Amino acid sequence: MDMTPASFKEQFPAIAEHCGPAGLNDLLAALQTINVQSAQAVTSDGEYCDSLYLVVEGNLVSQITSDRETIRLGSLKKGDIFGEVNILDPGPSTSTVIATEDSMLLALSHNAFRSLEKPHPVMTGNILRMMCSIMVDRCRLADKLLFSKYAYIEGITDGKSAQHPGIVEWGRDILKKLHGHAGTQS
Amino acid sequence: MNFIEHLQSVPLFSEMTNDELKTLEQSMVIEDYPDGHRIVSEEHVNDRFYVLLEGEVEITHEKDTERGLQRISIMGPGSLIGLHGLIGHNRPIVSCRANGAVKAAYLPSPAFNLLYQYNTRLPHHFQTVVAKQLASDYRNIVGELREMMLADND
Repeated sequence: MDMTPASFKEQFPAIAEHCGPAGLNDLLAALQTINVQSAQAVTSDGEYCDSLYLVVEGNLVSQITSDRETIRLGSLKKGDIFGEVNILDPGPSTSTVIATEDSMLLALSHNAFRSLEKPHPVMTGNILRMMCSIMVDRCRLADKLLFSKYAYIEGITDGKSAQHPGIVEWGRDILKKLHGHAGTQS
Repeated sequence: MNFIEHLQSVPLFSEMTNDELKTLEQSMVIEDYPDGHRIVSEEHVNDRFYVLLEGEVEITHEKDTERGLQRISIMGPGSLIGLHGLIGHNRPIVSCRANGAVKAAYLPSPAFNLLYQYNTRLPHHFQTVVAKQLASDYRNIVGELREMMLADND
């Protein structure tokens, strides 16, 4: 992958801000470039995954599927990141992510991340803390939905409270939020 | 079983060396709690991180629900309690009550923050333990959420 540190900082500032020059170089070396064709799945709902993905080019959608229907959670574009849960705790994916056009991703596997811990404990520690904070926020949001079915959820729409008429619409909104999609599904 | 043996039996702590576990032991306080004691409450900001050593803890959710008290699960030895409130600097999302006599080790908030902030080997391993637990919690909550949502859509 010929991505430069400067372009990585520009595209993925939330991660880059935790990296010193040497750490960033090693992080870039640990990333694996993945080219996916349109309609190809990157992760499949319920199937094993151990990586964090960074979208360099293209567009993708994430969705969950039941026996009867597919619920689209949102779209992913250049600069977006997904797979925070799987890099921390390799296991079943919480959604399916499919490319809607030819796309390029960078993947950081659990093992590759762990290999950076020894040479760069500060960088990996900071990234771990960032992901822990994301997990705590998401757990709190999910918990609100689970245990207060028709109560107000704060922060769904531009920081304003919103009340939803039913669990399905509400569930879709919160799942989008939980998977990091702030925008409306197209 | 002593404290270190307890932690060695917990998969999350399996990567920690004996020396690291000894350091952790020196930072933690072991306490016994009677049946019914509320270890963590949704009503109050929690300032401790607990590792359950012996006995069972009932996890409930009773605040801001229209359905009253919800019994979520029973946790056994090796369970980690109190993470969400400590990291999120907010009220815990659940309450935890001793279900019978309980022995637990706790790390006070200042010691937790120290372990969580400094970037040497032990804190890094500790951060990994915390991250794995949070990811697992998230996966469980989303799983329940999906089941409920898809069932409601039938």
